[in-house]
Amino acid sequence: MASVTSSTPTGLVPWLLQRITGALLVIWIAAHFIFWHFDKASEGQLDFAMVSGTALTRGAGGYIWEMILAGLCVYHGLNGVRNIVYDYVVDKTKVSWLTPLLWIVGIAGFLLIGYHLAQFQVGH
Amino acid sequence: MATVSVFRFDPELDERGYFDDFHVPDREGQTVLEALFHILEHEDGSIGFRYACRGAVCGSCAMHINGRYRLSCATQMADLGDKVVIRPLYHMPVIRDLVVDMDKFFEKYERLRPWLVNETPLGDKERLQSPEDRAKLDKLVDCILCACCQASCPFTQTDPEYIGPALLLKLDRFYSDSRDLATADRIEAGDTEHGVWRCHTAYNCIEVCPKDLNPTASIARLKGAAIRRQFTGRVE
Ligand code: SF4
Ligand code: SF4
Ligand code: FES
Repeated sequence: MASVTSSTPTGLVPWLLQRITGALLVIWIAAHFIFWHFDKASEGQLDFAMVSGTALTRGAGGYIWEMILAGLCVYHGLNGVRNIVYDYVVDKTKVSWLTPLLWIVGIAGFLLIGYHLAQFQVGH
Repeated sequence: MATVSVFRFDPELDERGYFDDFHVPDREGQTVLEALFHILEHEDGSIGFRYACRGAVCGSCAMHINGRYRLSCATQMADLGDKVVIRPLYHMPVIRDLVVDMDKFFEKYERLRPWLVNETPLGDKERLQSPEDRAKLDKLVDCILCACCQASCPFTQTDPEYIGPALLLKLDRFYSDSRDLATADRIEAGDTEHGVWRCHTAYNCIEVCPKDLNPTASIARLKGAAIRRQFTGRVE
């Protein structure tokens, strides 16, 4: 039987990535809650000073871990916005500008989070 | 005696729809369709509704009855209590009273080529199919195109071009048929922004289907086929 692959966007990739990021977020957010809100919070006041001074946010591993969480949140949230718009707009060509715009917003947001988290590395 | 509130709308006379109340005497075994006939014959001859087979086979008499999409010929008045509210199917333009315009629904249906595509010579017998392959179609061929599921889906409202649960189930009916050779086309027909990816798995369609069919499972099957095709090139 014929083998066909299409390069035209059909909604498949955003749909699939929404599920994958959703599943990963369950793991990452659970770990985030367990670590910060139960484990660390029991050690004292959970505030900016504590988060920035904790080994998790100051080591490279912790930085990568938190940045993965940030990436998942940004992608999942903005892809959700795209989905809602695509649900309501009948002529999808009218919103072809939306996906590039959301990518720009997403990358900018991700870099901003990365910049602020990196401040913890130098001991703020 | 039941009070039956019927949605009324005549585009030539009315700016907006309203409800008329009628009183229908109880009768054992009376269906909602028969109650509408009672109204037509004894109270108001101008009331508009669709029907054909009266036996839950043709799908023409689907309506929104007491908060649920149902076939009026297969719904007993006795099961509905003293107050019955009947509206036309949602998400489709009302032509008059309980009659909706299904042109768009059938246009979309036709675009899916709802027939077996198989150009190979037939030979001197019908195309054979194993019992196992036929069993895959058991539920799928039961769809009567009543459009209850189509009207219940939130996304046929937000995107009127969305193929919708009824027609995606029909697409699956041909995709899953071992005799059909247009498998790649079937997958491609569902793999669009107005296709399977618009479904948010809200399950309304399964809830309302009078034939107990599962359009969501059909949509999931078509999604799986599209993902396999996209990443492995396999058309199956
Ligand atoms: S499961 Fe999908 S097709 Fe069925 S009602 Fe929900 S969104 Fe619509
Ligand atoms: S799937 Fe069920 S509700 Fe939908 S059109 Fe077919 S019979 Fe009607
Ligand atoms: S009249 Fe045919 S399904 Fe009800």
